[in-house]
Amino acid sequence: MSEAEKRDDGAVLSGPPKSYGTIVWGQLRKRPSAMVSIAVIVLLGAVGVFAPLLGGDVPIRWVENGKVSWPVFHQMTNLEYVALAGFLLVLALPLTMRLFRRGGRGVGTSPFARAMGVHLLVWLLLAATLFLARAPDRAYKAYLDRRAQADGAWFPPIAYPRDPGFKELVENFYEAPSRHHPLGTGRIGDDVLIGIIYGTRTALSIGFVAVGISLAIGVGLGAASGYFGGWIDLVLMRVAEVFMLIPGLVLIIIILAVIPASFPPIWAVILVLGVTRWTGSFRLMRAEILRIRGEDYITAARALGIPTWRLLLRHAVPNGLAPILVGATFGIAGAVFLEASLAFLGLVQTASWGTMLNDGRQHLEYWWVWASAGAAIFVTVFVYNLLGEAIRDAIDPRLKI
Amino acid sequence: MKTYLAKRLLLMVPTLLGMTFLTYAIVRLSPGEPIEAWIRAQTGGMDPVSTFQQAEKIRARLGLKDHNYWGDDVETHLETLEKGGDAAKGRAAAELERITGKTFARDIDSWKRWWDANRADFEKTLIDPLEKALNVFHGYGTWVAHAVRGDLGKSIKFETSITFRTPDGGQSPSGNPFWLFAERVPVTLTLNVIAELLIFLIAIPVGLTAARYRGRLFDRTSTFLLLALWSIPAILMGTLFIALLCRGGQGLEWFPVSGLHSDDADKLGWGAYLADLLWHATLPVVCLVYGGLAYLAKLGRASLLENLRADFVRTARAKGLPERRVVYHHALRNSLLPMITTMVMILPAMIGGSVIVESLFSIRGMGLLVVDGAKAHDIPVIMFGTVLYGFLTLVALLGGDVLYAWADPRVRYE
Amino acid sequence: MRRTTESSRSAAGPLARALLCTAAVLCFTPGAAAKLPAFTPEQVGGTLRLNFNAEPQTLNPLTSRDAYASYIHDYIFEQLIERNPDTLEWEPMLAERWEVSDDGLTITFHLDPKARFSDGSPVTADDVVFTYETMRNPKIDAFRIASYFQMCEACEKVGERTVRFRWKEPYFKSFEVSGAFLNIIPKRVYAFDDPEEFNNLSTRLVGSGPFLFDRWTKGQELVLVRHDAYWRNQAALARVVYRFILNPRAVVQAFLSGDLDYIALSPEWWVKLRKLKDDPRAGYDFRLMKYSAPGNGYSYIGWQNAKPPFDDPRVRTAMTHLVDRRAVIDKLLYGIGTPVTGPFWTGSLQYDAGLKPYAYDPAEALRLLKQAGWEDRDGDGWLDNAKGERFAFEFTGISDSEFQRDVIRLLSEECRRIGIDVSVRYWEWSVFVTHLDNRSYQATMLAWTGTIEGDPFQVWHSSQIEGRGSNHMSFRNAEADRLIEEARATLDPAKRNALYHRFHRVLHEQQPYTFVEERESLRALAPRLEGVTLHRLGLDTKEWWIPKDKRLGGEGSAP
Repeated sequence: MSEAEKRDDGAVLSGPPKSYGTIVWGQLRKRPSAMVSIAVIVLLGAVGVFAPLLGGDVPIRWVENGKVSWPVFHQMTNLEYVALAGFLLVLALPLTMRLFRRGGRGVGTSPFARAMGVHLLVWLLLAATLFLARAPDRAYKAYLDRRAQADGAWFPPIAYPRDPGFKELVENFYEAPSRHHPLGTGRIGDDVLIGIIYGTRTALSIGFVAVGISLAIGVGLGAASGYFGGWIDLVLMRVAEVFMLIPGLVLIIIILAVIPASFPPIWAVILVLGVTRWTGSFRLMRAEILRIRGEDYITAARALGIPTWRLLLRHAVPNGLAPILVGATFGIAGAVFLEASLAFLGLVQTASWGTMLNDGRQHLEYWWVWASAGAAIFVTVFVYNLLGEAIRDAIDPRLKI
Repeated sequence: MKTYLAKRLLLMVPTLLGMTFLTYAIVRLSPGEPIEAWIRAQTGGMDPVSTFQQAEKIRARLGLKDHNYWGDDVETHLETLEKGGDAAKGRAAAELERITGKTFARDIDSWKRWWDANRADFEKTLIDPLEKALNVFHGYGTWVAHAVRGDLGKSIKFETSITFRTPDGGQSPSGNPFWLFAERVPVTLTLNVIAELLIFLIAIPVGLTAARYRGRLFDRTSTFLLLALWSIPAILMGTLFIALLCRGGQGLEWFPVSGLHSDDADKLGWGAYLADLLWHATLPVVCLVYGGLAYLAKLGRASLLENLRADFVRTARAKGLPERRVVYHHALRNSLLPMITTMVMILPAMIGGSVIVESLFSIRGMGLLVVDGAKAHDIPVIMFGTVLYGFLTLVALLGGDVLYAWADPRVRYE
Repeated sequence: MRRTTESSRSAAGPLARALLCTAAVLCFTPGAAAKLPAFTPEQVGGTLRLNFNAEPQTLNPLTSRDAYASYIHDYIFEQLIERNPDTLEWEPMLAERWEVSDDGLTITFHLDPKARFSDGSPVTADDVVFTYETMRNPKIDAFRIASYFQMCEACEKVGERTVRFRWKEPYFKSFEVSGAFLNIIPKRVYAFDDPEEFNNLSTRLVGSGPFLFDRWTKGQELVLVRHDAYWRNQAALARVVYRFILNPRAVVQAFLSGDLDYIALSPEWWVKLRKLKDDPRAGYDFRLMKYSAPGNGYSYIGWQNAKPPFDDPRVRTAMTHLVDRRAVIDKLLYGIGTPVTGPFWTGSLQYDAGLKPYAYDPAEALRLLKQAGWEDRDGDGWLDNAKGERFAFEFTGISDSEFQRDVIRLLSEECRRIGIDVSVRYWEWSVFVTHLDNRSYQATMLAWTGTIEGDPFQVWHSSQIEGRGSNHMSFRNAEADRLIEEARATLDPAKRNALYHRFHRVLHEQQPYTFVEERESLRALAPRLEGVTLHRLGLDTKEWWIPKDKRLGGEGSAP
């Protein structure tokens, strides 16, 4: 896609039409709140993904008897590697997109879609290889205790066990913030900052996966509803109504309360959040498809023999995606919020900021526990809300929200 | 309009049915039915057989007993064995032997003893998934059949704090979910309505001012600030309030920490009672209000902006009307409508969300009833609660639509 | 013995709270009331204000199941005998003397001719027999008490004021059960035609005790008044009022603002109130009491003895060495609690105080594990046995307990550090109980409530492994079985307690559980209360009094 050309006489000829995405992105770039939000979100992602390098009792580099090893990398699980790879691949998307853009113009598949496709493929291959070929080393090797015996060791900035034992309980029970523990320690001698760092993982995975699931369900069903119409539409609309009737929190509470406690709690939360909040994107997608179907150029294209589904894919989906994206961003903020509420109500016990906040509530005088967790939640939610607002404003001139 | 209303009201029924069925199925299919646990907690779990017997009584009352649909009902056979005719006894004995593999022939005592000791384990193996599904339908049907007749069942766990006259002349509280909720709905409703009014009173002026001075400092800072407020979890805000402002906390001791009434509230006169109520309700209402401001202010701003750009406003300005009149008299009136409608429609969501605040401040509202009822798998409470919430939402949605139609003559429903 | 349960969201954690719930016993366990001192007329009057954390379901003297009802019964009803709160010996209550046959099968009680019910009628053998018969009636919901009387053949009237209990087998608890487990109720008042009629009774409370039931306003309060014609030394308090306050914070607030006289505290609140009391600026004046009481019971980590890896006592002992009980008590419980080594109440005569708890010693744990065949043979950091299997097990936890969650988390990390692979899974209580019943867990954490003098048969005898008995960790030891059986039939307390000491020693060597700690009762009292004596069995509110100048309102019936 070439830039607009400037003629010698000063007139500007606009080049080939910019894609919708590029326009929105351009709008976003002008707003500092959006850019800051994106930066913070990337930072949070980095913290979550690189957590073992930031806090823990496993050194990054360890030299003993002349042998150099990199223990933290041996101990990282396959899932952690997959997440790390995913994170880096997402960050690299703009580069790949640029490559595709330079390659050729035209109205084929967008460079975004192509880049996504390539990255997705790479990621899946990597994941498959890792899970099939590697088993991480989980055993405990007392690196911190044997620090003196090493010839050289690089520990993470917060060099403290992730999980405390009785020794830590006795020595570091509810310690106020200090040089060794910048955010203090908690009830069982656990370092609060480490808790926040690893809590990022929980918050972001709940946010993204839950919203991803609800999007998948909502967009899929919405498209089906709009495309097929008829009684499928009727049935799906009724189903959506049923879900919309019960206030979200109440429905989530009821479902969560009856999920067996032996089900991994983080997945329970993700599934419940995903399965109960799809109606928003469902309605948006459906409305968009219904709107598009009435447009003249669609009728014309169909008269030419182009199959409907292809038209919907090329036109409805990209257009509908924008408001859905807004909803998704707010949805991530909402998911983090909801998780904290669910922890507060005692319905779920995950290793998350919400649980830390709830635990810290019992002892208001040890303020560093609940204040840190509360601040973490606040920052994350705020940043996603800001971004959602920014995107909403960015697409506002084009669509009424 | 009337036909529209009638149609909407009629459509409520299948939707309510669908919603209650969904809830029932979820709760019924989940494992960990807590009735026996609750009995054990009460009795100390001394005697597993008696615990089981009591649990069965409660299950029968709640319609939770699983039936075997394929005729493998050991209980029925045992009864036949005891009371039936000779031929029936023979058949029952044969069936029992077939099902259980035990050869007690017609010795009813041996059968009973064996059954008492083994029934719990054995019954579990008799129910296959299809039967389980049928049981869910059967149970749901039973509930509906009872509910339409006004019998909503009796809660396992809760009792009203008001008492009712019993047939023998005494006074006793009720476990009827209707009364359980009836006690608490006014509390939740009042809190949320007050909160909504306050949101309205604060957010609208803010939104309007932001719209009028669009793009200027006030607009940008107010949006930013309100968004920041929205991002503070209610748990954190409430905890801060309790820590800093309430009695028994670390800071000032201006407010009480729990409930909506002081202990001796019923002895106060009307004025003092109201004051006491307001004093208790202040912090919970603030917690309910601060989060909702952002959304409504934004809505107000957008709505007013849209109207300010409309033709009729241009006409008014062209006519030379003062700006103030243009904004407040013409544009505002049109903007208010969607906001009022929205407020009516989000009331149910607010009510759902007030669970947190109610829990923080120990307020006896609907929310806690639902949460504790859900945790205890208390089906009568959960089912009626679902109906209530669904009904409230439907009414709110309908109300919003009607309001819209009434205020805007262009809108017509058939 | 009762298994403690309860799920709640209270700050103390449900396990703690359950233990404290029974520790909210503001009177003793049944049969342990005290003879009241003789009060002067000036001491009579005043209202004692207490609270319950939840409302009882019913107050029926025989069918009610919860602890709260039993506290109320303690004011209103009496039994045949009671324990001296300091010496723990049996003393007369409704019975003035008794005889036990040599074989222990026949126990005869002679009722005190002065004993009267609150309506003035004398307590006769008919009433005792009626109480017994009602309790054993299968249509009456008195399962809880009836289960104790399973081995009892009959309770017969022998004379106008003499009853005889006949038991099938000699059992040391028969005497206690016969004499102290029944709240004697008047036949005249409680006679029924239809058993359901009796089952549905809730507020008909007519007994022979020093207090009368006044009223129960649901959701608000339950009021007892002094029985002015009580047949022994009458109480000093004119009224006792129990208010229903569910929120622990509200309870403490009410106490601090002077609306309650006596409350039970969780460890967190104990610490807070201690700080408040020490702070001269706060200006609070109240009493705090901490003591060991039999009802509190103990918490433990249970190992599944029937299957590897915990079928070897050396492995179990190693695990005990990995638990730092002192740290758990000092930090997680704010110093409230005592490490225990056996299943008896530390204040009882059954407990062998000479046995010291195993110290926290991971090195020793490793050594024991090596002895048992577990060491890191392949250098991968995990312990393996001779067959090359890794030492790995799963903790089965209850989803609702913060205390348990903390201990399990800490212990899992300790295990990991010496090379044991631990995973944890949580279940809600009802499903968890099926794991216990099926013996399908490897390790878990629970608690038992205690009594003054307990019979370990239910929990420790190998016959209780099958069926759904309480020996859910499948402990099987011939010597322990023998000691339990012999002790059961030994009626002489000295000989019996010697046997229990030996039993305690066996448990200490075998470590079927890792006994963790025994809770202490925590109480806060208003300064105006007088006559508060800490007995070996705890506190008895019935013997307290309030000086005239510290009473609120008028004398007698006023609050």
